[in-house]
Amino acid sequence: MTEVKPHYELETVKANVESCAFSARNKTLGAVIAVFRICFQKEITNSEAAKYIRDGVKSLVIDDFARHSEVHGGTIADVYGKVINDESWYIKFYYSDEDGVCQYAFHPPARELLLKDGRKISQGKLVYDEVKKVWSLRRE
Amino acid sequence: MMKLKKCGVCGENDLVHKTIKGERFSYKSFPSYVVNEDLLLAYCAHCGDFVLASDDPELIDIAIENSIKNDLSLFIKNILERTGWTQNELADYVGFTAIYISELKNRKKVPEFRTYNYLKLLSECFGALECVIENDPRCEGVRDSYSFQGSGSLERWNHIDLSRKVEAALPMEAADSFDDIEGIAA
Repeated sequence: MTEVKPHYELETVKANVESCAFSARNKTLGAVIAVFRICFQKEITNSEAAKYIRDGVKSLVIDDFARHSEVHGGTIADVYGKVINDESWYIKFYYSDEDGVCQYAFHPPARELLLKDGRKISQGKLVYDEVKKVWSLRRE
Repeated sequence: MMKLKKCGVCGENDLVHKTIKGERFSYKSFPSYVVNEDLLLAYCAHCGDFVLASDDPELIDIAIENSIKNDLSLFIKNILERTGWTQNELADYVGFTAIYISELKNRKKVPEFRTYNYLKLLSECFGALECVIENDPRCEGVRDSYSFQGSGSLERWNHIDLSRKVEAALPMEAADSFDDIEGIAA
């Protein structure tokens, strides 16, 4: 069995993350604002959420890698998992020289996430309602 | 700033510019706020979502803050117009400092979600303001002007004729121009 490695050089991604673009705003900026509001009881702006995401990506190490994910037209995204301040995060991005870093997802994992090194990142405390497009506490 | 060339979600490279006015965004304690300010951002018509460049979150914050401040100023002006109160009276009767009311009215402060909701209710919802001041003897004149029949029970609204309800719920100019009000009440 061949070892699955990140598609993008992590150091290159970190070096370019300051100018990253955000797609799916509710699953990046909106998710971070919701976690801060509900789990940390703190209020943050969109620009503070963007900084938190960039800092989160910069804190990644190779062992946080989970798997690949195809996003569109054969474009491969790297999926990572990370626990930051006791909160689980599902982190997905891709990179190209032309487009830079595209932050595609930075939100509480919908389900448990298995990392390359065998660690498991638990599902998030918040769940996203795809219809209402809002985050709320997961009901057990 | 890097120019966005395509949507990260679907790969569509024919992005258009669209205003965020009318769109929902999260901001601080606001879980889902509908922005009422114009700001053109790259938009993917295929996904129905914005594609944000690195500087866009800061611009979005500014638009949201301006929009919330405008809303609050209108809420306060509406309450003052309905009641004939001064800003100091409004502050005293509903539980704020006069300075804070002045700052909100003059668009100098962005309130918390709960303050926004409280003043929105007082401004927009029939009966809310009357309910808050129900036991304040200083506000009897205001209560009378809205046919307030205070008994502490929700049933009190059943005694009010519908035309008065509509009139009280609308800004004065709108109520004056609403000349078919009896037809609606019937």
